[in-house]
Amino acid sequence: MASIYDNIRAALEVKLSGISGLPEVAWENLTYSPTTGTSFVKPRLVPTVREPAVRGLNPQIYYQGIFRVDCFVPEGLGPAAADDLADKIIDAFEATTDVTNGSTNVSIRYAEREQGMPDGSFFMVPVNISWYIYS
Amino acid sequence: MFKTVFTSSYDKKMDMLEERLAEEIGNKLDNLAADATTVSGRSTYPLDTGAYVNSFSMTKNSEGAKRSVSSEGLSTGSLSQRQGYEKLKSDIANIATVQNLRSIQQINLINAAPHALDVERGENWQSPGYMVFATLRDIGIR
Repeated sequence: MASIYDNIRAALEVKLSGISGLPEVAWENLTYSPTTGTSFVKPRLVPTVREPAVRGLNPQIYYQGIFRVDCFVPEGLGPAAADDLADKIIDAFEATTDVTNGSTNVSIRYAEREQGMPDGSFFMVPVNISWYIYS
Repeated sequence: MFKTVFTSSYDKKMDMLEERLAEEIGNKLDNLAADATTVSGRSTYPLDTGAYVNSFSMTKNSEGAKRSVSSEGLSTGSLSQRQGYEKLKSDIANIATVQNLRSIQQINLINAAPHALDVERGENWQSPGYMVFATLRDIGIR
């Protein structure tokens, strides 16, 4: 039986990879060599909370965390490409969206971006998608 | 007609409520300080020199950062998480007072370490950051 985190990750990653016009994806813990001048995104699952949802024996468990998607675009071409990419991802994971994969239903609390910054030969804008699930 | 004047006891009750409010704000900020210096209490980021964790400060309104510790020249374990936490507790003692209740517009948690951005976001595209502030934002003040 897959762990709950495998199911959460699968739901979020399937949703991400289904976004129209998404560039290459540097999946977590897989070898990836970016090509200079080519945009890519780098997702990461960051669990932050695991706690009983109610008191008593064998309680339902509440899980919460961040699905972080770093958006990399070529440096020196202005912020528009990174902004567009971040907007696409935020739109796909808008707050109150339910992301479903099989029997796993992950709910989105909020999706927001941070300030962009130069990163090597890229310009990077981080997008934080907060999720939760009861299981 | 029968009349009772509560002025004296009312003032005492208000004073007591203000003291409790200041204490409760202090408790919430203390939880935030504990989370900030341990990231949700699970030590999810490794302590190296301790420069980052000792660069947190908590300020009110438009006050700037109170401390910035560079890791340059420090060996592993030079400064502890406990020391960083105690510094924040000292900041909180100056913020969460009855006298400050009506003058505070905002409270700021700042990390002014020279490498704070690298800790948050990672260095270069290959090294992931520890997302300390993003995690604190996600779990909220408990």
